[in-house]
Amino acid sequence: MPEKKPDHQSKSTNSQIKLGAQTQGSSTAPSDSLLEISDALRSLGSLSPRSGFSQHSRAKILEALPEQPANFWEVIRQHLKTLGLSLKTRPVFTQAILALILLMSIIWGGYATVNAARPGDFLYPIDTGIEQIQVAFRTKPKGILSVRLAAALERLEEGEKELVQGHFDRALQAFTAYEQEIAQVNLMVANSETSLQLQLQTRLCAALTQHAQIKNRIMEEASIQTRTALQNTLQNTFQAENWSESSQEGAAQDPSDKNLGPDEDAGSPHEDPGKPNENPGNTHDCPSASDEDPSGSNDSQGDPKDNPWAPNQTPGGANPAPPCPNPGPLGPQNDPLGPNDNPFNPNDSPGK
Amino acid sequence: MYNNTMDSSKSKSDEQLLLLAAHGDKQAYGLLYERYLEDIYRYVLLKVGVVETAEDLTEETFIRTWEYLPGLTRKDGKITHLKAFLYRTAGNLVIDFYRKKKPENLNPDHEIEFRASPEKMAEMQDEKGKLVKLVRKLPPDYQKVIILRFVNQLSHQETAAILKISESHSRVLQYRALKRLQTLMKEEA
Repeated sequence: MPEKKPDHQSKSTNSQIKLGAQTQGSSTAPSDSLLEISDALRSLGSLSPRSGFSQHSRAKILEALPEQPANFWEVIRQHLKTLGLSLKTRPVFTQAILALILLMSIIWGGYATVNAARPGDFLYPIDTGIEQIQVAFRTKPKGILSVRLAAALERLEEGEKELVQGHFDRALQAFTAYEQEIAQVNLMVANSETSLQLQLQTRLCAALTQHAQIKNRIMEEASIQTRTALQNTLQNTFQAENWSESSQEGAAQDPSDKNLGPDEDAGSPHEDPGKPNENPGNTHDCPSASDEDPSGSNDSQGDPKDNPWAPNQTPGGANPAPPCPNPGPLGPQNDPLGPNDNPFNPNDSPGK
Repeated sequence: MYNNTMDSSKSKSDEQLLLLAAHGDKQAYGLLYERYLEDIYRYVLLKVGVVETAEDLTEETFIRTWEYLPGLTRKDGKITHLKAFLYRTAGNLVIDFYRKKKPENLNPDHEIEFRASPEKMAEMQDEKGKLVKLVRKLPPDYQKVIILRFVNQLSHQETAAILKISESHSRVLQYRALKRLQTLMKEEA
């Protein structure tokens, strides 16, 4: 450990200097005085640790040291240094990282803001537009189904929030968008390949079960006036002239049959327990909302006419039949495939 | 056998010991500790003025430095300012000490216990004690340059590296520190 000695090293380090006397002497030149001070300071170099400390400290420190001579952050720093990404020596990396963090924050914040837009807001069309873009970027039917079902769920929840806050027009807008999404999904499932249909149907059924619970909750929370108005408006929206008729027919049915779906009144396998269900795509494979939710609105409301999503209320629409007991306002009456062409129609059961 | 190993280790340079220590060799680090213990202890003691505190901070300095050893070695095994790193770590710990401690512990008139033969103890206590008190009344930068240049007898180059200043700045600081010390001595007298 070679050390370069200071300029005044040749002076004695143990010189005994009377500090008061030397500075008071008028005959001493200032440079000489500083020299003497520096010599006095060197004499402090004789300061040394206590002998006990010197003996025990080494063993104590070596025992206290962790096994690896590096903490976590030091390891990270070393890896970055190895990669040539030292933030200290290359400030541009710091700037780049900060810029990236800022950009990500802006994007994330902007997306969160847009995603939180409610019907009628300025950003709402952007919100729905982003969902359509997401759909456009998906190539596999399962991916498209997931995005559309997520969008439908978001619309439904938006409608519920708006309804709770008393914004009926906005709620209606959200419900309309929801129905359109579900119609798109139904169409996609109906037009998908046969090998995929069962899987898509299963997913759709699960989603619709979840949606049905929300719908039931909405109807439970809605006031009588709102409920009626909601029904009427939905009827106008979908131009389902025969909805009220179906509703009344549904109301006349045995409440225990309410969850059996729209096709059961034509004679379903449920009506004939002796007939096995041999259709793998049969809707009875799907769990219905009321099966999973025993406190569903159909039971709690008493009159299914009050619930626009009651299973047997089929206002019709330009959509294929739902693949499971869809509680939505979709019905077989307007099924373009016809009840006998629909692979999900329980009436297609070979045993029938 | 062990003694032979120890002897061979002691003959190794700082660079070799640091490289071994950076790979987890505690004995090598122990030798480095022995080499730098007194300098770091003296530096800390003159800044805090309390023997026990100086001992604690000195130990803490070496423990902290152990965690950063890989950063002090390059791929070619060369040291990058171990001594400067030790001094800076000690200086930071002293700053932390001043931040945390109560004002009564910051008294610059605190007596340092000197080690010497009994007959010279009284005289040393008197002369050096006065000097230490005056040094501790200097501004922090002046204290550092005085301790590094005169007490620990480092070169201007080493002092500049520790203080992260240029050598010419180190010379200027040294001159100003001595002048200030001279003024304080006159006032004291």
